[in-house]
Amino acid sequence: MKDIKCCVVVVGAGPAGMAAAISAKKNGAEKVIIIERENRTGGILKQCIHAGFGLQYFGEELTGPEYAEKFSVLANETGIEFMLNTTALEIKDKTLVCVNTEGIVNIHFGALVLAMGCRERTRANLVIPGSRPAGIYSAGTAQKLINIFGHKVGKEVVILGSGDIGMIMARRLSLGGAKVKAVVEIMPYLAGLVRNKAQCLDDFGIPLMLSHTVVDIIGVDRVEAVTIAPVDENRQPIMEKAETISCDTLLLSVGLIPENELTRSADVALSGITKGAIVNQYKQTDKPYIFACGNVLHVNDLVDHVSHESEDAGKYAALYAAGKLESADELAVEPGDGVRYVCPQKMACVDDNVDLYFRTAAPGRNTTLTISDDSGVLVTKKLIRTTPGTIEKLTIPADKAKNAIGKIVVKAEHKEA
Amino acid sequence: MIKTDVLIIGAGAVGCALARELSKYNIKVTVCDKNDDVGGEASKSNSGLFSTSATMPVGTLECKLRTIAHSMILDVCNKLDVPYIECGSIAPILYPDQLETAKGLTERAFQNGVYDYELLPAKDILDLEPTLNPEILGGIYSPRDRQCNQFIFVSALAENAAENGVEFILDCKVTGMDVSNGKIHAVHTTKGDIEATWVINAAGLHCDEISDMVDECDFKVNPRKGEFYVFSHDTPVKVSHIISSVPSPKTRGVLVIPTVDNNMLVGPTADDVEDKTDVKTTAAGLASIKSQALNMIPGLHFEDTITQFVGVRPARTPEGYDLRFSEKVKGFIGISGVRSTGLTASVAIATYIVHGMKEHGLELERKVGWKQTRKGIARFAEKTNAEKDALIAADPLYGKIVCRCEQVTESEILQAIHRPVGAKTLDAVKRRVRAGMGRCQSGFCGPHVIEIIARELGIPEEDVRKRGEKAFMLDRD
Amino acid sequence: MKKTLICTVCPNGCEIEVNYTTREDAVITGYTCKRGIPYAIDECFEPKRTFTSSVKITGTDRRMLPVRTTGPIPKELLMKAAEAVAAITLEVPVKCGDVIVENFLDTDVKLVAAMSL
Repeated sequence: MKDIKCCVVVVGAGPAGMAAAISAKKNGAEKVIIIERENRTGGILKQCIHAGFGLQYFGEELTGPEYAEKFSVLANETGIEFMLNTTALEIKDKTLVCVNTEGIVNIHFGALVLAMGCRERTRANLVIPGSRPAGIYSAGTAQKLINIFGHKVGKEVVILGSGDIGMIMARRLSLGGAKVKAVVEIMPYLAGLVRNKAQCLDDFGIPLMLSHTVVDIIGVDRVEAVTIAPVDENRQPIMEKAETISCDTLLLSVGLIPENELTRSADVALSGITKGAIVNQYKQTDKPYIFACGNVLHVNDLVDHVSHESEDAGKYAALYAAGKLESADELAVEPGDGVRYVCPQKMACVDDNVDLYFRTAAPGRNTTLTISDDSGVLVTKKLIRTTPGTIEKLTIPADKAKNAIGKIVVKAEHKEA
Repeated sequence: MIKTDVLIIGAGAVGCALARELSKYNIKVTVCDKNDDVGGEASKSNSGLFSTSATMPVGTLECKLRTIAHSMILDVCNKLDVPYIECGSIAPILYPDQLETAKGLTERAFQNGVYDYELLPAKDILDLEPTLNPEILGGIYSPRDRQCNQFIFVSALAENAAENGVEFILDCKVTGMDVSNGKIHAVHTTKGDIEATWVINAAGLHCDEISDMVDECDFKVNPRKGEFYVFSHDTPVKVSHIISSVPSPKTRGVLVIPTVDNNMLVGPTADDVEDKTDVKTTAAGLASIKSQALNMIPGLHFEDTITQFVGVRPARTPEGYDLRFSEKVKGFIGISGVRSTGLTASVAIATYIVHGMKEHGLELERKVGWKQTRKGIARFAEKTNAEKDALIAADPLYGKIVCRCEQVTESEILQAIHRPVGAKTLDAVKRRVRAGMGRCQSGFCGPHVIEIIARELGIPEEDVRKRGEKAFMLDRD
Repeated sequence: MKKTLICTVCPNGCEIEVNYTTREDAVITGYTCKRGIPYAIDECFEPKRTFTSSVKITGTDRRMLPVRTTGPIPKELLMKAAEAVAAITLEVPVKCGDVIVENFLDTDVKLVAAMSL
């Protein structure tokens, strides 16, 4: 058993972890360690070989591996220490217990940043009936098998869920010679970004079936077909209109869940909506020495947002470790009408700008976004279009944040559906 | 032509228990099974219960064998390092008409020699199991009902038998038999002919097909389908006892079962089906389990389910265990009617059959140096940090976690593959060491387990199967 | 002619309307940044896409090296591009940005490595 001391330890060397670590170092943390279970940095970006990353953060369009590599290079230049091939097992007070092939390593930290990312929802989470043959993959698993291992997963594919990874995999599979027969979405609108529908589905003539779902999986050994039915306004399948589509593969892109098992070991309070930790604007959890960022906090649409948010987490973790993060009175931040969730869920009233990230509850046009407290409206913003697939950001200016009272509520009102 | 003294057809709980029992003697024993793994059918898809014979029909062979087995089973588990929990069971009484049934059941339990099967008032039952519906009218408490890891139970029996010289031939389906003059001359299989002095039909769900090959099938196997939910470790409301329904016209008998692996099982349904391979879950079946279970335990979080599965159990018409030494065909032993109770009863069925073989003139000589114990694969996730450190010092691959959800290391997976009667498929690895058994259902570890299986078995990754003959994981051109 | 497009230049996915007879007289509305204008014109007359894929690589545990084109290529070449990269096998070491094919499919666009291995 080995013991190591550090100022800030970060769990996960994906985009969130690396941004947090670099920021912690820049904000005065002397020794910053990143724990990573895999043998390379980059997290999930290693398998996201498509372009579309970095337009906001770097001002250029990068692929996932390129985006990750920029942060890896920066992390190395900044003097971050990486412990690769090392898995974090549990948090016991201010000690992170890890394991690698040399044994158990106890890391005693001043502050810890959770940056473990998320996992994919499975068929079982949706309770899709049918048999349990080979050939059912979550979209991210298929992405890994194809882009990292160089495998082929199937010849004829149906994709359930119109999340971004699902649509990106529809294009990837088509380019690899497979036939993508349909992308099926239970909601009446797209789950992912509209540009991915344009460049991943429309470009390849792949039909998008909104308000439909998979009601049966057929095949004993390998998938042979799936049965698809339209759903009513309560999302209940209309079985008389069901049709069977032959395929050998079913891909699921039905949502992501923050991977918070380690967080639970520290008894950190979690949000029932985001499934991530409840934090304030410093990304600080109810255990003041634990911070969270990236998809383990809430599932993001763009890695660029993750980088920005994670820099905050890293900065305040460094300040906390140095004893420089003062606590202040906190107000609750809550989703109001038309908003699904807001992160952070708490706000310390200090003399600094506070960024709120949130998702709307349904798509719409001519949308007015507002933030108010008990005294009235603090911030408003008008947008031509909003969708739940996109994360919105509003900033409460320092003077208003400092003097806010009661409860902070974020609302979205659409003029048109 | 393979020659053996005893051929056991079917490597489920009964077949493997028989194999282990016979491995005590200087006799050549061969087990064949059409699946890629032992316990690949009814013995895997069940609730893993070791129950008393309290509610069994009085005086039947099934009741007798189960009573004997219940007294043997913990000794077998301890010797073979099979994990189990002594959780006991509770049958809550939800409706007044169940009270009479419950009284009848306690009388029957007494007749069956299960004296600790007790009808208790609601407050005592709720004290034992506070998750129960507070409106119950009472309940039956049975302290010696247990739950085991049924996958490990079967593979441990097989492993121990193999270590003592039994040969297992898997992916080997019996296709017919050459029978004449009251004798089996050859058993035809997909892996060649087998000649055996004794042929034991332990084919479970398929025992009618095997019996038919010697023209001894005077019964029918009715596949009975049972659907189950499996819950995540971290679901907030968990039971500490096996919760079963009191049989009544209103309920069909859904159970809520705490498992040795800290998951919770909820089910089964009981639907008679035509097709033995019908392992489809259904919207109606799952909905019915949910409403029945919530009636007993209102706090259950069904959103925390990590998988749902179907087990097909072999019901028999006419009902009841039938262990038969053929009078027409010399050396043929038929085992039929062994339903879900067979997991517990297997160890007694084995001794019963071996006893019968001796009575039929088989002379058995005890093997010198018979190994009666087996050590399980040490599970990293269950160890203290100091123990983990020691495991890694002995084998660094214990420090390489492959399945993050269940914290399964590469060392454990390698052991699962390389032990006697080792795993060859993803499902077989999963059953032995739980890689892929957790919340992500192999989303993260699947590609790595494919890689490890291919590397260790020396086959291309495209040939790696989920299970069975044709369930290939990847596209094969 | 009137065409409604979804701009794929950035994640905003603006809905752009183009009224045109020729490339020169096209009237474009609905864009929220000026990058949408050339995209919309190209989309009507010569649609282009950035191509990304992965190619086989030996000498390391990762079997596939991510690759990309340095700029967009004509959309109708995408399947051809996929076939072309399927035939490539490289060996480590490779630096992110290393040129794999100088003039990829005669498009004057380079195919480069998108990861250092």
